[in-house]
Amino acid sequence: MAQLERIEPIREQAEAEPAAGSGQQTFADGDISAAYEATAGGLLRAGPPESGDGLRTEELLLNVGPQHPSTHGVFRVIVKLDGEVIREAIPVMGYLHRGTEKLAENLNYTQIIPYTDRMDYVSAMTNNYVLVNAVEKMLQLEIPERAQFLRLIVMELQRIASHMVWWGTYLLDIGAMSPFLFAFRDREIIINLFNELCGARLTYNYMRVGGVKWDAPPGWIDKVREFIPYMRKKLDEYNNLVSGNEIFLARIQGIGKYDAQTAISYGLSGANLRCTGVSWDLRKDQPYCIYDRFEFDVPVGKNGDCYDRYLLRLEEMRQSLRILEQAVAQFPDGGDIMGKAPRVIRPPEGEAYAAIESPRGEIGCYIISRGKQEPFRLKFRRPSFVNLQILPKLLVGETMTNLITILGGIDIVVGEVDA
Amino acid sequence: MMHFLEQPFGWSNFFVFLLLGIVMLLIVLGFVTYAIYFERKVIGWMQFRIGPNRTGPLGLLQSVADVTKLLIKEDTIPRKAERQLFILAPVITFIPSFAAIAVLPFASNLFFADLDVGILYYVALSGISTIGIVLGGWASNNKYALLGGMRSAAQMISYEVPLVISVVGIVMMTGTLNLRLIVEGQAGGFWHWNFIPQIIGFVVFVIAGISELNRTPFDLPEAESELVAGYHVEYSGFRFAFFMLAEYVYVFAIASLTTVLFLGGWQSPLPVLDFIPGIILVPAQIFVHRLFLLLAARDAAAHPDRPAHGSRLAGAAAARDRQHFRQRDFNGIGGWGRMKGIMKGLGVTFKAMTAKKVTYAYPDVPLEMPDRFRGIQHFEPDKCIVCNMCAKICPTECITLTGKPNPDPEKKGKVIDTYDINFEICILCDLCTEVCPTEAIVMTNNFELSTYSRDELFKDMKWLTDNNENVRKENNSAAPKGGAKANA
Ligand code: SF4
Ligand code: SF4
Repeated sequence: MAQLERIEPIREQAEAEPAAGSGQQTFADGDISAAYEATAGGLLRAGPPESGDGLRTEELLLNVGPQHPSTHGVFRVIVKLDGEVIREAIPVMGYLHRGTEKLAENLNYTQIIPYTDRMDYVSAMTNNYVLVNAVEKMLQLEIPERAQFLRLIVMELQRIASHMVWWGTYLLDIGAMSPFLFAFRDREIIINLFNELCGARLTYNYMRVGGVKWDAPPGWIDKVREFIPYMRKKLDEYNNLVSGNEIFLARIQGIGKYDAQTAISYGLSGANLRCTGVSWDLRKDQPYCIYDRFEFDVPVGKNGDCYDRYLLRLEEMRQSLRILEQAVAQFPDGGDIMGKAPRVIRPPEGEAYAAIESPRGEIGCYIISRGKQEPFRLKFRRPSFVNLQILPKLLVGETMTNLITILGGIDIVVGEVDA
Repeated sequence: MMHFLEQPFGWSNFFVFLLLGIVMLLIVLGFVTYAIYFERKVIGWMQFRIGPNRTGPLGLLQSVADVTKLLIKEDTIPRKAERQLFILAPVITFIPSFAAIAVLPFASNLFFADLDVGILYYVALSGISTIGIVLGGWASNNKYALLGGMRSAAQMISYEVPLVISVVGIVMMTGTLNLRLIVEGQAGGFWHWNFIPQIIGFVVFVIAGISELNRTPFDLPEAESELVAGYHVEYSGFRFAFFMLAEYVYVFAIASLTTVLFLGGWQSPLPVLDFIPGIILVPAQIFVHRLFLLLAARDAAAHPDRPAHGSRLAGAAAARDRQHFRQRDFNGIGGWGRMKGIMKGLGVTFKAMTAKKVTYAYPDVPLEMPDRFRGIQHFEPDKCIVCNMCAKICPTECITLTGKPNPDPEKKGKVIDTYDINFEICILCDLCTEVCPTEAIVMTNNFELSTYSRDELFKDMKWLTDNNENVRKENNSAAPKGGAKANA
């Protein structure tokens, strides 16, 4: 909890003088735009700007999405444009809502696992883990060593794969086409590793309450071992390809900036929080699985802009490689992959919350059990959803071009936003 | 040519020019076709792909197929669009692009017009195309198109000026606006070519030229990731083809113009090479230049492009937004010292061109999946004991099964009667095979399940039984070991 203390003072400060977005206000008839007006501190609806030359100007209401190439799925932002400048932005979500949480109330715990795959489909392994972890907490299960290692390895591989998808698509949004294919070529290696391990390329359904479904096939660990130096080299290549590009820098440096206080009051997590200089990574600060046995750093940024978030994610991939390196070196030779889990999973009456660091931030799973096979209530804290809330605030006063830069920088997966 | 031009206008030279015009159109069309093909191939190579390879040998007919497709596609005009303008816009864009080619001299005796204001003619005509783009954007009655059109106008204002100014040096040196005379002034080896004394003009011209072409990184009017497709978002079929055609004709024209203005036109680079007829030299030069345009502009910079400062420059022209553009952003371009990062990126892409291609030749070469791959299920009726476990565990409830009493009166229990899986909703989660106590339902490695109707996705027992190739060897590996009782 040492890390927690570090951000505690900031938190107190944030409470003492609430940032623009955190004021408690009630709105009579749920008038969305009134709410936005107040929450973004009167920045919105500044009215048509005065133009010196006496031209009459009008604002343009533009629907970005739900079918738009850069909203990463079916996500929609209503923007009010003044020329190319955004005066107001209202995100509209829910196009991909599948009612995961409600569905889960009628499913037993094993059946919920495939549903978690489909929330953040770019990082299915961590979703699997957060659910089984919450259930295991309730059952107080002992997880065999080998299963722990397998879980950790797949989660870190997944983090790399997920950041690669982000890297590729982000640059695609900004207008670069090649990085996308660079990233997907290398991601393919991870996907193939997963395919060999659990027979699926995207929705793995790999973890089970008490362990994992499949043991590593022969030679699999060696393939992971070979992948590490390969990926290190590729990360350098990525850096050469993009990170120094002046056009790219001009587009993302200083864009979408916010400070630590704002980030905390909006409840951001993951790279979106760390880019402001707050060191908060659940792998370090509330270790789960067996993360406390490995050495790795939590990179933090200091400017809180899109460029910092970009660098952080690249660095996180490097740190994941470091964890992987240690994990494959210590990988136990034998042992069970399933703990002594009951055949029929009926957690005792009670509640549990498990939170882990997904590639996008803190993903949490809150379960209320009434002692049945199905949860009484299941709630996911979905980082994409929480992180997205800062979008309207960031967009005000930016150009259309920056809308894409900022939205991409937040790194949302619409499946997770809408669940 | 000169001799035809000097004749009084009559039928004979009209036909000659008509004929030559048609030939030129065909040449340009051929150029466009293969420029697109070439571009796609090179982009492919840079990205470990092989590019077009299906239509014709080496995919050589790909662009032909694309154009044919565009021509026979349904032509849609949005109901709320400004109909006449909508139809007119692609024409206004295309005609000047083709007409501008008239002043380009291709050899000392091959040109279509010998205008003394050649450069001005070109610049004036190419400006008209922008009107077509703005019109198209406006007439579409689509906000994205409108923004794209406006950006195009802003961009033209920003870059047309440097484009023209960069040529002024040459005009002053040669004392003429006539393109043919400008080329003639560059005779006698490459050290007489204009790009040496006019190196700054040359660089500015190339950059502004790329911007004129709306190519990446200056593709603001299209801006696929933000404006979807910009001004031509509502266009389809051959109207869209006209916009594309105009764009590529301009690629051809700018490449030729650069050659003529700065790179000696048909003059051979070394006096000893004088024997090569200019008619070969010019296309060769255009080709080289085109290559440069392609590499430097499009794909090389297919690294982060469409610079914000580009957009801001463009916007800056739209005077109203002036206050939003910060000086810092203008520093983005300027000086090779500030291009180091881009050059580094370029290096990586060039290396990638020789790297191993990762394209799968999928339908021709079947994909090998690892043994554990979760494909379509195979069902073994004899093994099934009708325990209903699979139907119960299935999270999407896509299994329906019925049993019947065992026909053999000696034996107890039931045998399976019907067994259906609805592959419309099966998520291939593997849970049914995991719980089945007898491995009656197992997974295969087959994954091709496309049909023409949703009803066909409802597979019955016979189909599932017949789906018996590539059956997975290992099936329910991690059935919980039991032991600890649930909250006993
Ligand atoms: S694979 Fe999953 S969804 Fe498909 S039939 Fe089996 S249990 Fe149901
Ligand atoms: S679980 Fe297996 S044995 Fe039981 S009904 Fe299903 S297919 Fe038959």
